[in-house]
Amino acid sequence: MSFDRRCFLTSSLTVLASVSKPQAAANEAKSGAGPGGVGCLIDTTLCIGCRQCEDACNRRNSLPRPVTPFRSKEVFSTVRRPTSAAFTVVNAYADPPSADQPRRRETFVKKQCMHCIDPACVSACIVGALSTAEDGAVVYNSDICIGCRYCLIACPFQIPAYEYHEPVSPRVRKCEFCTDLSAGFGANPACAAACPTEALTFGSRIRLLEMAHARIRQRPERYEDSVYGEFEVGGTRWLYLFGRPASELGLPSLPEAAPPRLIESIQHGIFRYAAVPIALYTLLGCVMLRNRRRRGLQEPASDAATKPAVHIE
Amino acid sequence: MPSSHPAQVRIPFFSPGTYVLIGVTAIGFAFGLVRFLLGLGTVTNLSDDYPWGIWIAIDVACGVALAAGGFMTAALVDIFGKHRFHVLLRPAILTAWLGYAMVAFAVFFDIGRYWNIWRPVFNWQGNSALFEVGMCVMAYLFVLTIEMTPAILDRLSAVQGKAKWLWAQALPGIRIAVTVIKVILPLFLVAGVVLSCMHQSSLGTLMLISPTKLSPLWYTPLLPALFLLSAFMVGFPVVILESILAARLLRREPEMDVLGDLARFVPWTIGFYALFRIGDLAIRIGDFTRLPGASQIVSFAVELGAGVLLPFFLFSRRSIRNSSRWLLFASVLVIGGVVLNRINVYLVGYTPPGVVSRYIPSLGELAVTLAIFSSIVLLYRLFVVAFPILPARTEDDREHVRWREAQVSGFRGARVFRFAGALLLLGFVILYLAVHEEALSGRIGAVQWAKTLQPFRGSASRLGQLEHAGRPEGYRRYYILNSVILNADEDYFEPVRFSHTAHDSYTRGNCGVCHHRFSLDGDDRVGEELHAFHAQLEIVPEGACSNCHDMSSLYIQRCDSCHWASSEGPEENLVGLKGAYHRQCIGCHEEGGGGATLPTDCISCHYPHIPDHSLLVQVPERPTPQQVTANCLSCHEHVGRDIKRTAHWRWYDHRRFSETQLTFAEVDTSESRMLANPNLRYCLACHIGVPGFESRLDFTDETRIDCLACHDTTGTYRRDQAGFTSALDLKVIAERVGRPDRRSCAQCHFRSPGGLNDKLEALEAEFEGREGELDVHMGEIDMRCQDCHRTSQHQIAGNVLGTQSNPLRITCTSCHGKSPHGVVGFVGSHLDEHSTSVSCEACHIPVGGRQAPIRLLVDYSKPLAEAGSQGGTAPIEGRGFRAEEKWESNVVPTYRWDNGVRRMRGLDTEVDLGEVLEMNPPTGVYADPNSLIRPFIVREAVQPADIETGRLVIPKLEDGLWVHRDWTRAIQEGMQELGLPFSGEHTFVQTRFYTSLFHEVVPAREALGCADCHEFRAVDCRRCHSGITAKESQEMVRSIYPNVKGRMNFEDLGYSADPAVSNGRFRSMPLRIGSP
Repeated sequence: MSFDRRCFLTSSLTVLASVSKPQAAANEAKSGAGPGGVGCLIDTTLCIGCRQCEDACNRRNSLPRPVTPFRSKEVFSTVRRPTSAAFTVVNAYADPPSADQPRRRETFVKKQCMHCIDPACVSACIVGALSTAEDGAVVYNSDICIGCRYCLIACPFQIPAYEYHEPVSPRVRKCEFCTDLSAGFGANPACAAACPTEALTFGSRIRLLEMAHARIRQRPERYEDSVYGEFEVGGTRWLYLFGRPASELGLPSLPEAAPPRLIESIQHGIFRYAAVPIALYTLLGCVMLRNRRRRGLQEPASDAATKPAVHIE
Repeated sequence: MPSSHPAQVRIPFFSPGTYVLIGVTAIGFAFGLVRFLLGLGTVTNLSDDYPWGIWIAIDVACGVALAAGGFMTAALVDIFGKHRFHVLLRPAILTAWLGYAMVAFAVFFDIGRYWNIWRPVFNWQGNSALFEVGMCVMAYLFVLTIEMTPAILDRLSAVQGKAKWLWAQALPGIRIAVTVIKVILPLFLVAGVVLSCMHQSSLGTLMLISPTKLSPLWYTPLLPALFLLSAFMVGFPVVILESILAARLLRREPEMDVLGDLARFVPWTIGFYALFRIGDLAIRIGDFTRLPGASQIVSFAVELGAGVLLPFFLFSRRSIRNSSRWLLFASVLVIGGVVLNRINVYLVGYTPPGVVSRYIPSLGELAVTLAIFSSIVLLYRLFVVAFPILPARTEDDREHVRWREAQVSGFRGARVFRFAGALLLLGFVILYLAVHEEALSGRIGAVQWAKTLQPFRGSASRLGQLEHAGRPEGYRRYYILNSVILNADEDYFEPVRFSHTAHDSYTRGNCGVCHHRFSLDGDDRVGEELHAFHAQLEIVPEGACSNCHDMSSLYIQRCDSCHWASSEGPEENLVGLKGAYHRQCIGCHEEGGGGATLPTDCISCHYPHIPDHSLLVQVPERPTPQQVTANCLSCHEHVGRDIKRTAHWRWYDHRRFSETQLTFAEVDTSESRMLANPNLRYCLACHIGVPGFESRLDFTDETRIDCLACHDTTGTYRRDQAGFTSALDLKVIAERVGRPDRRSCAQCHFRSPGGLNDKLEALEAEFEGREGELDVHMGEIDMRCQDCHRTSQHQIAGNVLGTQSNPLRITCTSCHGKSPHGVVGFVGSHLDEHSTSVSCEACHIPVGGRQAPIRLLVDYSKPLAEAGSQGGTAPIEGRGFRAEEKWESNVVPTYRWDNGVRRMRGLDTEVDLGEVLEMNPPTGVYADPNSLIRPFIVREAVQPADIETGRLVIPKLEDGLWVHRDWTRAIQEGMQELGLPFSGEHTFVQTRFYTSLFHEVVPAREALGCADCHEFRAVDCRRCHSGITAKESQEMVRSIYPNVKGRMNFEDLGYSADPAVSNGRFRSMPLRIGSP
């Protein structure tokens, strides 16, 4: 009996030690660039819905040309989401972008991968096919992807799309900030370069945030007093300026906590140093040993003695 | 109590039920095959919004949950030493093993890149719950296999029959293997339980990644714990179900005594789960931010009520526990509850934001899922028949004896193997540690590749000092907005042609609308905000800048002196050049200037760059025109349809804009050329059918459209009269197609069969190039035809035969605005007033045919013996008949009221043979406010008509009149071909055809002066403006074309006198004439 108690004690101690420690470690941002790195600011009050960004994206990524030409406004009759053939889409919402633009009839909101600072998809990916580049772009490596689509489940913005009709090597497709993998270059978005009204501004995220807040300060009557993406799900690299509440414009209301934080603290909290499994193993091993002994089955004592000794360093 | 050792079940494998299951499996895997051949999208209803379906929720998640019976029983029997449940162990392990094997198998169907399934073993991603699940399932499958091995080895060591000798040789090896397994099994038994706990809970962790998508009814940080507890809960009921079902199907007695005992644990596990589940909900329900949907609430209620609470009460009752039927029912409830829970968590509760559609599993998904489960049942049957799994029913317990013989006592290698087993486990633990440490450190090997990416170094740079230092020398009227800055970025469009003057007039001379800042010092890039600066001086700026300023002394900056590349320069927020242009433009364009609808789409101002078609065109060597067209249409799918609606293709679309409906057979008696149906070859000189079209008129066949006629850029393509030069290599031309330019249009429109200007309007060869100042648009600022003839879906705005060919009207005002003269001093407003009654062309096109002469008369009643030129340009080659003609340059137009509608006369119009027939007179009248005075060239002809019917007739020209020169015969042939009657006698009537003048627009300085139309005394400035001297007034209202007398006959137009003297149409002059 005393032996069991010792087993139990050691295992519980290990559990305690492991649970108390990991929170701080887990909270460290694991993305390469942290909140620094690149970003892109979308000023929806400037967007005129010309869909040049869609066109530029289509060309840069060599996507199939759509049946409806990019100059067509017909597409605005439905709310679209990014697909495997279009990494960015512009949606139109009735009513002007801002109170000081009464003559405008619609607000246009571009949708693409938000490039979260703490991306759920990257945390979710089983093999690390999705990852955060040095500049913060969330990029995809189809070579190791197994096609489980957990990233589609994970994304809070409903962005990644999948090639369902590709039988052998379907890929997850999404905006990668125009990262050029073959050339080894980082983010350089074609949509931002193509935007005629410079509603899209590409640059350092920190400076873009300053710029966004400066615009809000300069024209408080035009903008909602918040930058969408500054805090949502731990911050995103694509930032939006709105003249109307974001919830009216098809963007989800999201908490400030990044989804990976809870899941990773569970993962690493319970399983760090394999503490809980080893403790459980030890406990169950002790129970088994005791029961076997009770039944009088011949079992060398070394069996029980070696196991815990091996596992607890 | 049956004997406790397991044995094979002595029944045949095949039975009617087996065949059904094989059928179900085959159908399911047939669907599975389709999935592998055509992709997930073909078989499943999965979408980007619902990426996981029942293959994950049922095949995998439920599969794993329901395999919990294995580790639960193993723990109960081997760890907690409840050996009376030993009979249940092997079947439970078998069920679990099959369950996991099929989970692994089912995953192949669901994951897209199944050939990459091994990747997680090497590409660790320790942050991923899915990685955790995957690795644990893999490891547990290994452990289960070890746990299954004794049964298989048992069977092998007891093989009898033909190969007995062989087995006898193998027996010692098998015995050693049995011993080894036996030695290390305890190590792995415990490991199996631990692994199960880990991945059962991790399956719950999976969905924690989408807190905003999973309904709050199921989303809880406790989800992993709930998953584990529900696995505990469902483990024994699965064993019970499996045992009772197996007994029934295999016609055995269920082990009710053991099962009843086992069921005693179930209320505890259910209770424990229910406690957590309900407790968790009770705590969280106050914080629900989103309300669950109705279907979710129902599903949740069923899950909790029928799947947890009801079985809890059932299992609590001893009488139920001891009845096999009730026990079966209660177990099914628990299992159903857990299955529903997994479906709820993965499917029902998964509601992505902004998605309205729902996921319903497809037939194929259901079939594959059924196949997976039926194959588990099949394999179970196969195993219990082939291997000693189920408790023996016979007294023959040889197998078990043999097993017992292989006890480990005295086995020398026991320590070694035990150590090896422990090392294996240790290795796994170390691996596990490494994965987690790697993930925590943020340096995951699998994603290191992304770190090698270099941040992009933009190539955009500010302009060189020289480039932006260049201030405008003076005011420029027209800009082609092009700049290295603009071209540096994604550049899909040609530069915009920007009419500075036109936009000036829109702002009525207020430069500040666009030039919103200005600097007093040339080096100051930012300058002062215009309105703020004026406000400082307490001035409210209004109207034109020139109202106060001497513009020649003012210093207005170019846009690109401040605006460079985006976000570059001293001010972070400074808009780049491209943004500056567009933002300045789009605001006004959206608001609309002066009530006009201004274009806001890209292609109204820009032409897109045309991609290099040499990479795109795929035609055989020396293709036929039709092959070329087919290739064009293969990409430009809708263009064929568009073309078929245009005047270039249809020959009869003038009805909407004229009073008479015409068909192609009737249309072109218009002027004099008589090129209708009998002479089709000449119609095709302009209408864009491919060669040979005239022999088979087919207006539905899109491949007969001749694309190259307009889109050739090489300048080599020729449509000579009605055919092509077959010597041309159309492949070369097709590979260089591009946007039509003036040369392309000129092919047909400047040179018609009759020669230059023989076509309806004065368009001269000079316009092809840029030389000359014949037309201010085409010459001076080099505009393309389609700059004015706006084209949308191949509908080209413009007139055909003097009537509009389609609804896209082009007018001067669409660019120049409604007050185009407004900013040129005070004369401007007087000129603007004209626009209510006078078209722009009336003053700005003073003469027609400024260079090449226009044919004003052709008299077919006076044939000439010699074919040849009479002052015009060269006629059609091979034309054998020439009538007397009159050609003139610098024709002073005739002015008529025009409202855009013509009264067209065709072959169906009866002619008064004695009078001049007006072929297409404009229908405008003096009293109509929509009618404007417009200049026309009137072209006269004397052409044949039927004496009896009094209608115009058409002779056959080619192979007709030109050959035999017999009018009667030619008319007979022609009318016969048209299917119209001809009495046999003809006469000649005089006709008059009106051509409106639109081209050869002269610059403002050459436009008509006031005195060109009006009497000087009527327009003398001194009538109102007393401060003006006679000399100044004369200078201002002078005549530009003094040699032309009587240009405007006001009486003919309906005025009582010169409107400047008398009154305008609708308003009277404010002042009395003659008061200087």
